[in-house]
Formats: sequence, structure tokens, C-alpha cells
Amino acid sequence: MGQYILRRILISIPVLILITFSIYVLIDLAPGDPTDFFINPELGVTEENLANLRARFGLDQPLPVRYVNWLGQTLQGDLGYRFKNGDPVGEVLAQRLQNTLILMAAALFLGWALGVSAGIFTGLRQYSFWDFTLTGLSFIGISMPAFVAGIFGLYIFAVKLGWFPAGGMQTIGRSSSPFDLLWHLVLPATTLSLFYIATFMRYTRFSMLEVINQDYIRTARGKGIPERTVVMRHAFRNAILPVVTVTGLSVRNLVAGALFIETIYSWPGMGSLFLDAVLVRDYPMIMGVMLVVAIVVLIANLLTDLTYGAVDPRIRLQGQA
Amino acid sequence: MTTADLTQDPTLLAGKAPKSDSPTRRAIQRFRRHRLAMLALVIFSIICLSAIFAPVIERYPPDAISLRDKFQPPSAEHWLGTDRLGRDVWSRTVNGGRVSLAVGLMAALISTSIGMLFGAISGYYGGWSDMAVMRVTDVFLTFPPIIIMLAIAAFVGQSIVNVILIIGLLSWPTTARLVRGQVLAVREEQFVLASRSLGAKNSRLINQHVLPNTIAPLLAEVTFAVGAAILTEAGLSFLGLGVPLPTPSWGNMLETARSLDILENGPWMWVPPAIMTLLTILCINFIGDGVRDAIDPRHRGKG
Repeated sequence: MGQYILRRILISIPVLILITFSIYVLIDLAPGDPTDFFINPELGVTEENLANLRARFGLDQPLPVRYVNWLGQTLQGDLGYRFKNGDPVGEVLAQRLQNTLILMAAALFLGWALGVSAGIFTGLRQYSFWDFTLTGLSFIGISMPAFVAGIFGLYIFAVKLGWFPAGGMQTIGRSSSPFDLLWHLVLPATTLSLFYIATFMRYTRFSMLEVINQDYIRTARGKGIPERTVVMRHAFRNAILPVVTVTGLSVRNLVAGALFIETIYSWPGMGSLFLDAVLVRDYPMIMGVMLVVAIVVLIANLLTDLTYGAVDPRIRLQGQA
Repeated sequence: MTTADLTQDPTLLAGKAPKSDSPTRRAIQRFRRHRLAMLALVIFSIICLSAIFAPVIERYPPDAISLRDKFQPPSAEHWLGTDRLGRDVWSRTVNGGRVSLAVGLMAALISTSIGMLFGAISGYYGGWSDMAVMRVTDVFLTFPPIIIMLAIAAFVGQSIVNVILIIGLLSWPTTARLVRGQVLAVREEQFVLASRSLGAKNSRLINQHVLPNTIAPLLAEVTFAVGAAILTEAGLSFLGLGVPLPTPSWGNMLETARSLDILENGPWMWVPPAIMTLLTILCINFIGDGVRDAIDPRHRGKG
């Protein structure tokens, strides 16, 4: 297993380097010069001043040199300062990332808990009333964009019914408590999770249907093993593999979904921070968010591979003869 | 079949050509039996027709501002009410559909073409070109597309053409991966080898043999790509970086709901585009599912 983990990590490193380079080039191509943010146009700056400024920040160097310098700083945890207000990018980002991860984790948890249970339930009752109803609903779920779900959720449950707060992470003027946080989390997390409940349900159902008619299931039943054990230990254990893959692949879209949901519910996360940075062309923050997003997705992929290896011995032992 | 059988074939006696049983015809038959997909196709056609004939069925110009009529709930005068500037919401919804569908189709056309090209090159030639294309897709597939698109949209400025180009030029990696996989499988088939041994050039092999055999699986992918592109446009416009006002699109109509006042007091302004976006994506998903089942019956029962 150790070797398997190591191999997976080593595969991610070149991708990560390529990603940092892509981010750097993208921002380099973006219009505007970083020095614009340090000069006051009313003070009459000469070309010589600008050249000095460029030399001081190393901006006169060729692209590969600048990239390596930037990468060196980044590796030391220095992501620079925001153009917008001079705040350190890393610190702001860390706080916002935490909030986004809370939202994403809650949505993923709901997606898994409800989606996989519904998938097993319907997979065992193909063509029943519940199968048709839930499968039909799942179609609406996978067709529902996060922003449509978010807006309808906000309108119905916060504005009209008033059951949940309309936005933010905590009640203003009250000291923060886990209950208050959970209270504010319900709507954003649920609306974000709808798509994943539907997706995980569909995959679980499909792969349960594939597995449930296999010979080894009949054997297990024939041996007199209780149905519950047959379903959970024999069928589900095998049916879960595609769901693990889909979960890993979902994290990328989950980041995008979180961006919309954070905007709708004014959740102070990374997505709303990114949108804000994009609108004012706050390049250091744009780069910071992109880098963090890439790392989050890569870690999710890595975790998927590891889970996969843990669940399926065939994968982890591959090529280890 | 012997000659005796042939003369007794009723279709021949009736002077008709025998019904050919090509894979395409069988796939079409299977698709037509897929009731939900057929229903979705009908609804989607209606949505498309309303988009094409938007100038005919609109009751006011979509960007005609009339401040005297602003913020009106639905009435006989304005079927879906009016927005903050007194523009007719019905007219904006049908015209918005026109823009959203056009952007979605064009962007999907661009991304599928690029995806097919890179996928075919990568799968067919292998080696360093495969390596290069795959590493690029690796990078793309690590980012949620909307993150890169938002940044670029902010850099290049807003226009319909920019939205189409941004979505089209950045959404190809999934298609490329799919085509590559298909090409890898087809490349090793006997008939490709046969053609090669007859002296066919690479370009001929790709165009005549490899690509046509990847078209069928690609068809479902194209359907979903159109849906994804429509969704992306709506998302970008919703965040204020897509189709610029005053041109209506479902996404930028939905953007009005980001103001709590309109969300609460003017649901007629944002519910129509929300429902239309959801309905369109739902139809496209059903159609795509039907297409996939029709082409590859092994997928049956997944939806």
C-alpha cells in the first residue's frame, strides 16, 4: 500500500508544476501591468521611474526567470499581497478556504448519505413505484444548475417561509456557535448537494443493478446468508467502486457549484472571494485562488485513488508482482 | 436467402425495396421507442422554435425601456410582467432563449470540433503528440472550467462573441479524451489494418475509417456538450461576466434575482428564465440518454 500511495503522489507532481506554469502564463498574458498598482497617475511618473520599479520587482526579467522566482516564493507560502487592499493573499485565502471546505464537505456528505442510500434502495427494487419516482426526481436533480437550485431554495425556504437565514455564516450580533453555523449551513449545503444526491443515486443504482444478478450473489443467498449481509457485504462492496470514482470526479464541479452558492447566500468562501478578485483584476488573489483550487482538486483525486486502492485490492496490488 | 425466398418476399412483390436494417436505422428505431427521450425531443423542439421565431412571438421589442410600466406583475398587457426598466419579460424570455441556445450550440460546435481534432491526433499518432494533448487536458481537468472562464472573461471584456469563444475554446478536453479512447480502440481493428496494407494514407485512414466509427458514441457526448455550454453561458451571465446587457439571455435575466428585493418582490422576472434553463437542460439530458441507449443498448436502464 505504501508503494501505491507513493506512486500516486509522484504522478501528481508534474501535473501540479504544469498547472502553476499555466496559471503564471495566463496572468502574464492578462492586460495591465503590475506596476500600475504601485503608481499614482497624478504624480507624473517618468519612463525611467517605471523602469526602476520594474527592475526592483524583477519584472524586467524574461518569463521563465520570473516564473521560477514566483514559484520559489509560492513554495515558501508567500502568495503576495492583494492589489485591491494590500492584504496578504495567503492569510485571507486560508480563512475563506476553510469556509468553502465546510460547505463542500457538508454537500458531499449529504450527497453521499442520501444519494447512495437511495441508490441501494431503488437498485433493489427495479421498476417499482419508488424506483420510477426517485429515478425521475434524480433526472431533475442532475439537470438543476446550482444557481437555479440556490435561488429557488433561497426564495422558498428563506424569503417566503422564513425557516432558514437568507445568508452569511452566523447571526450578526450573536457570538458564533456550532448550532448557529449549522443553521446557516442548511440551505447552502442542501441546494449545493441536490445535484450530487441525484448523481450518486444514479451511479449506485446502476452499479447495484449490475452486481445484484451476479452468480456470487446467488451463491451468497444460496448459502443462507441473511439478505442484509448479502446486500451490504457482497453487493454493495462491489457496487461502490464506480461511486468512489464519481465522487472524486465530483470535487472539481463541487468547487464551481460552491462558487455560485456562495454568491447567492453571501457565504464568505473562496468562490465569492474569487469573483470579487476577478471583477477588480486583483491578480495576486486570482493566482492564489487558482492555485488553491488546483491543489484541492489534486488532493481529492489522490484521496480517490487511495480510497479506490483501499476498497479494491486488485487496484492496489496491480503491477506489484 | 434463395431466389425462391426473394420472390415470395411481400415487400418485393409490392414493388418496394426491402427495408434495410442498418445500425443507424436500428438506432433510430430504438430512440423512437424511448418515450421520455421522444417527449423531451418534442419539448426541446418547441423551445427551439420559440427561439427561432422570437421576433414573431415577442409582443414588445426585448430591450424597449418603458419606465412608466416598470415592475409590473403579469397581466394581459404583459404576460410575464415587466422588469425594473419596464421591459417585457415574455419578450426577454423568448429572445433570451434565442441568445442562450445560439451561444450554447455555437460553443458546443467549436469545442466538439477541437476535441475531435485533438482526440483523433492524440489517439491515432500516439507518442509525443498524445503526451502533449493529454498533459494539457490534465491541466484543464484539474480546474473547474468556470474558474478559468471567469478570469478570462474579466480580462478580455464582455461580448456575445467572447462568451462563445471562451466556452468553445475551453470546453474541449472532455471530448478530446473521449475521442482519443474511441480512436485507440478503433485503430487496432482489422479493417483499418486492411486499408493501411492497401496503401491508404494516414489522413484517409482517419477520415474514412477511424472517425466515422467514433461518431456514434460521440453523438451522445455532443448532446451533453450543448447542454453544458448552455449551462456555462447561464452561469457566466448569472455572475455578470457573460452576455452583456441590454441583450437578454436566460443567465443575465436570472442575475436580477441576486438582488434580494427582486428575488422577493418580483419573482415573475426571474422564475421564467430559471424554469426555461432547467427545462432545456432536462430535455437535453433525456435526449442524450436516449441517444446513448439507442447507440449502445448496454446502457439501458441507467436512467
